Amino acid sequence: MNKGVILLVEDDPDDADLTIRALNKSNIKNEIVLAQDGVEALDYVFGSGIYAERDTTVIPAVILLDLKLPKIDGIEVLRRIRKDDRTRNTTVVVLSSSKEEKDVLECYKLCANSYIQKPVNFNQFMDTVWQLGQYWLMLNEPAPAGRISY
Amino acid sequence: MNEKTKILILEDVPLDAELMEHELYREKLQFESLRVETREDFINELENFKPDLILADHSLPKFDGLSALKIVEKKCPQIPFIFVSGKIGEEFAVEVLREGATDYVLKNNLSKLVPAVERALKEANEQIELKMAEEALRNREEQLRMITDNMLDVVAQIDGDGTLQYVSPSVKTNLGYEPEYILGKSISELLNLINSDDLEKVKSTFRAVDRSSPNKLEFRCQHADGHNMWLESIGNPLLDDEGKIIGAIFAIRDITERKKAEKELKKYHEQLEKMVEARTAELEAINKELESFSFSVSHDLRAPLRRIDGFSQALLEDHEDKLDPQGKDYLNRVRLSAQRMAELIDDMLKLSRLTRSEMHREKVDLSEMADTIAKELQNTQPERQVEFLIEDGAIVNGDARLLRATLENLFNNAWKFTSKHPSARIEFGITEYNGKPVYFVKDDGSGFDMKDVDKLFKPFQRLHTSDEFAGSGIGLATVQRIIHRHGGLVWAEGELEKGATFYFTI
Repeated sequence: MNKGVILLVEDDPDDADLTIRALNKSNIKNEIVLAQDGVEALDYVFGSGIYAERDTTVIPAVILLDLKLPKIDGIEVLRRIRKDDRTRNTTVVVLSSSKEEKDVLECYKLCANSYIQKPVNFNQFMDTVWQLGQYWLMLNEPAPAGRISY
Repeated sequence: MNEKTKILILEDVPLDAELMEHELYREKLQFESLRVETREDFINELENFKPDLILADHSLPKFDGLSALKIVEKKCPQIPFIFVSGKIGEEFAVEVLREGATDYVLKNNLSKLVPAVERALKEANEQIELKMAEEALRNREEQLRMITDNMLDVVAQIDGDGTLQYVSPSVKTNLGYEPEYILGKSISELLNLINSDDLEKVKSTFRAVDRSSPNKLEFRCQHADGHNMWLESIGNPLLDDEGKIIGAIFAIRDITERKKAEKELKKYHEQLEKMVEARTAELEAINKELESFSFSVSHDLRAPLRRIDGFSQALLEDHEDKLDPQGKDYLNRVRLSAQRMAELIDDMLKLSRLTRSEMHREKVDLSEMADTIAKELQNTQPERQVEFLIEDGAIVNGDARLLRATLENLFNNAWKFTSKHPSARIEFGITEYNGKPVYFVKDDGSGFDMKDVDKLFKPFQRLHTSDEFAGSGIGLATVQRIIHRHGGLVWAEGELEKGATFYFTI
């Protein structure tokens, strides 16, 4: 099991609480770090701003990324994560309220690992989060750390 | 000649006249004759008898041939006049011929009479025909002149040197110039009336007036009062018998009004185009707005619903001990409503996407599609006894994705509304209306009352409660939109508990 950090990028505290609750309920014990906007998310990933002291060789196991974010939106966050060699292969799962085609397409173009529309039904949401945990934290073999050139 | 030739004989000796008549009979000339011997009778019979030919003796007791000839030359010169006399001197012969006699014959050589008569009649006939032809030509010329003189357009003729030989009087009404001002001038003298912008065009067209023309030209020209006008001219070369150009004829028309109308029309056209452009831009803006609206609907409205549902669930799970059964029931109802609203939002977005997405027309086999859908439905509930009847060969030209959505909706409905019956039959077929193919999906399920037929296709209109049959009421509205986008029609027939049939054309 991947013991890495789960970076949850979510500006709405209610949604953040519900997602964290769902993760807990799914028996996922990984440490959860919450970033409330795009800048905070990038600061964490690349060790800048309030996370200047962080050891950036430690890459999050999964980044759960909302799209509608203050300051820097989710798509731009994804673009910068993919542009950087260190995080090119990091697992990024987009968790969005919408499934507008242009959003979905844009995310896959930027190599999001999954695109998931948050279901309204909380039970379904629980299922989804549980499956996410199963797949990305338990079954999936992450790419080896370090620089990989294509 | 059918009619008998009338011959007036001026002769005082009846025997001589008879000899002449005999000679004419002998040669089988068809004629009738009348003999006179006085001046008075002669003049009278010219009027009454109307002779075609006159045979006259030279000297009579009370009259003479030369005087008779002079009378004829004066009154009716076209009648041939032949002298028939005893003897005639050469001088006299020359004189009578000069006076206009047609011929002379000696009485002692009457065998020459008939050839002379025949020749004279033939010549007279030719003279008449020539006269008639000349008259006809003159009449025709007069008519043509009348036409050109009275035409509204200007007609002008130039000779090989470019000098104006004719211009119709309408040049005055059209261009304000007297014909006399133009006539006799050379074309190069008139070029200064032409707008300088069009001068080169006029010159080159003018040079091109050769046998390969007619050629047409529009140009601006100055009216006598100084204002500018638009003219249209058509030129045709005039050729002589050998095909050499000896001049040209131009028909010139005032097209100022037409040009003005064309300009106006162009202006309106441009205005219209601008309006269309503006309207299109407006529509595009509205479309964009709609898109962003539907985006925010999907995003902004779903998020709070998710929280309502999520926290209700959290309450149910984490504080179960503090809730009595009624409290739990209420929370469950809150959750159901939130979920229901989410479904409605999703359906609404689906419907709006259908109307916005681009159409890709291709050949689509509806029969094959119906077959696949039927199998999928049967797989969802293998235990149900449903007979599917699918007619082959329903091939249409349309958007495959949209048409599949149509058939899915119609089949889902049929599947759903037959679910209360122990066994059912669902049919897809082709019929014909007004010579065009009509496709239909028919079931023998719960049907509907025809008085409700208008409600069927309205979005979110439902004929049943959710307890009876689940659904959002968007399916048939979707079907209608898709069919309308294909330019087709959709309608329904039904009867309570007997079934429903949905027809559509593409």
